[in-house]
Amino acid sequence: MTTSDDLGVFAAGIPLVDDRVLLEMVEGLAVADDLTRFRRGQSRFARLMSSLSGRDWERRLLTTQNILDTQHGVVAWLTETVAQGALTNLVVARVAHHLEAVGQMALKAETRSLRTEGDLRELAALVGELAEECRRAFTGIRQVVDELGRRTSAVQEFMGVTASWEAGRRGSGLPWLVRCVLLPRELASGSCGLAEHADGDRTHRRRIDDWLVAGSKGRPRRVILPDLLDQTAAELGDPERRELVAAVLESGLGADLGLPAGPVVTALTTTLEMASLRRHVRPARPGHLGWEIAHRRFPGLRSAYELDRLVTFAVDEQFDAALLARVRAEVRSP
Amino acid sequence: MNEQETLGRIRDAARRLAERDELEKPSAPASSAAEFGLPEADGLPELSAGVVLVGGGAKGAYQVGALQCLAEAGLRPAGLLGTSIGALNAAVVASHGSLWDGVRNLVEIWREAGAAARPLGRASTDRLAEAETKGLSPTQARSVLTALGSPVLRPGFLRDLVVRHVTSPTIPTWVSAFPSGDPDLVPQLQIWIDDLVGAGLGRQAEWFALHELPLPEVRDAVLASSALPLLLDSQRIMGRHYIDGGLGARPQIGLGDNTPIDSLVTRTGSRLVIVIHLRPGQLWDRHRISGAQILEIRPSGPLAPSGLGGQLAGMLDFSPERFEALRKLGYLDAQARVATWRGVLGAHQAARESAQALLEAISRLSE
Repeated sequence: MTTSDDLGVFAAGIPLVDDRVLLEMVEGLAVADDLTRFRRGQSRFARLMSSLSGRDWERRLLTTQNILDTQHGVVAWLTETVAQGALTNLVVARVAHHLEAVGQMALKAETRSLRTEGDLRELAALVGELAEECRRAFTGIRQVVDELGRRTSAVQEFMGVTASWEAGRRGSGLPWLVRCVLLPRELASGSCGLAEHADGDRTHRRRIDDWLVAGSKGRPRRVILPDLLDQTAAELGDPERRELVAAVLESGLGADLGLPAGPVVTALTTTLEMASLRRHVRPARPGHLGWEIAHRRFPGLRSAYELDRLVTFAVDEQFDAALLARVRAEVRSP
Repeated sequence: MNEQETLGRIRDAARRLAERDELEKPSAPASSAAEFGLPEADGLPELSAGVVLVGGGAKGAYQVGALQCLAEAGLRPAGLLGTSIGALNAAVVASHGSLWDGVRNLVEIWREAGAAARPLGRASTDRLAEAETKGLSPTQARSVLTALGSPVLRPGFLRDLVVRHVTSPTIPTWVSAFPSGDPDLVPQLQIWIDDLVGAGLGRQAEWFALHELPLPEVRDAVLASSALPLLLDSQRIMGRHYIDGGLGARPQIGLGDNTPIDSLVTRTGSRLVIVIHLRPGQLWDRHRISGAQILEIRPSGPLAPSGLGGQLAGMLDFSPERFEALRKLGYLDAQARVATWRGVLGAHQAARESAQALLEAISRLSE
């Protein structure tokens, strides 16, 4: 391949024809033409005289000299022209080579571009996956945070409610069985029930169990439920208090309006309603009758329980009822 | 030079090659081409050259047309050489600052001479032929020619014309005159015989540098160079008598061997010399001149009828019709030559520039 330096050297070596040579060429032609035209126009006499005087020979010689000059000029000019043509060929070859190199560079650039495009596409997929992972992680973290929030709220509510009950600000003077129903009912309707519904966390049931059992010291470990129902009705004394407790337990409300009544609540509210009847129609042992009616409806309801088992049974009944009510609400309003 | 400029130069060079007629013309006065019903002459790029005007009597009208074309083409005369009528034309041009002004003045002079002349009719040429055949004596011949009515033969006409139109030259100018005898000391017949014999034996005319002479001698030198033998009186210059410079020129060459073209080149610095001939088939060899590039304008047709009588009539016919015909022929011939020179030089320059642009472009490509 030639370089531009090579071309410069080649160009410098071309024998350049001077302007003077070109002018000599055209002058030679013009003079030869003039002399020839003159000789052609001469009369015979003039031709004879020219020959005799030697002027015709001089004109022929001058004509030949001018033609020779022109021919020399043509050769010189042709030499330069051919050399310039060769230079042009070399330049064209150089340009063609350059174009080929440019074409190869363009091809490489295109290949690199395609490769880069593939890399970018792969990177985009990775970034997408990473974003999805992050989204999942954030969702999980949010779920955990929400769960922790619900658990914290549940614990705080449990502590607050139990502290209030312990301090006698709430539930004061209520019979033991009523307390074993109302306390879990309140917590199941609140944050503890919500945490169980959202997270399946049933630890609050057992915490309430423990708290109620701990507050039952001095009570017999074996509980006869019909007797306990009668005792509960008796402890409430005033029929209005019995009706009030039954109303709090949502006695008489349909399943759609309140919590669904389980066996213990059914037995208790039935007992309290029986005990609230006028004296001449009031059964002698409303607790037994209340247990009997609840037993018919809920055959699983036993007549005798260990104290802690009865507590657990009552607590589970309230949380199950609250859980069922929340599920129904979700079904109604998803 | 950036790529755009290079491409521009290449385009320009290519355009010049393809459209030579569009080359920029130098500033020139209103063209006389229209006057002749001709296309305008093409310009020559900044052309400066010496101009040689040979002798030939009334045929000098041809030089007026040629000079007119060169003026329109933008020629700046670096110097002038003139013999006989060429000396008169050269002196008038040299009296002006520009070739164009000089040509305009020449046209006025030639028309003035034409107005004073009587056309040479058939009868006149017949009388010339008769004089040629019968071999009239010089006195008889002069009387015949005077009777022809040529204004240059009237006493005082030519001097009056020179005094009115020739001033100290603003352009270096040389005119030739042939040394002759003193008519106060030697009989006129002896002088004529002596001049003719001397010319035939190779006595050379002398060249006067008008730009170095005082104005009276400038005019005397012009009159001497224009003094046709037998017809006009010799002129005294610096103590010697001189007549027509054409007498010392070789008849078939039109110029003497001592024509000071070398002096012109040395004095003006212009190595380009344009010679305007007044005879077709002129036996003048430019190769005898060294150190200068010679360009010739030769008549494409005869400027006078054939034969000695025709030649004599051609030299003396100053009629307006003859002047206009020769001026047009001179203009046409010069126009053809200028077009040729210009085409060659333009193509050559374009080729050089395009080659240079090519090398510059390829050099940048490699960078």
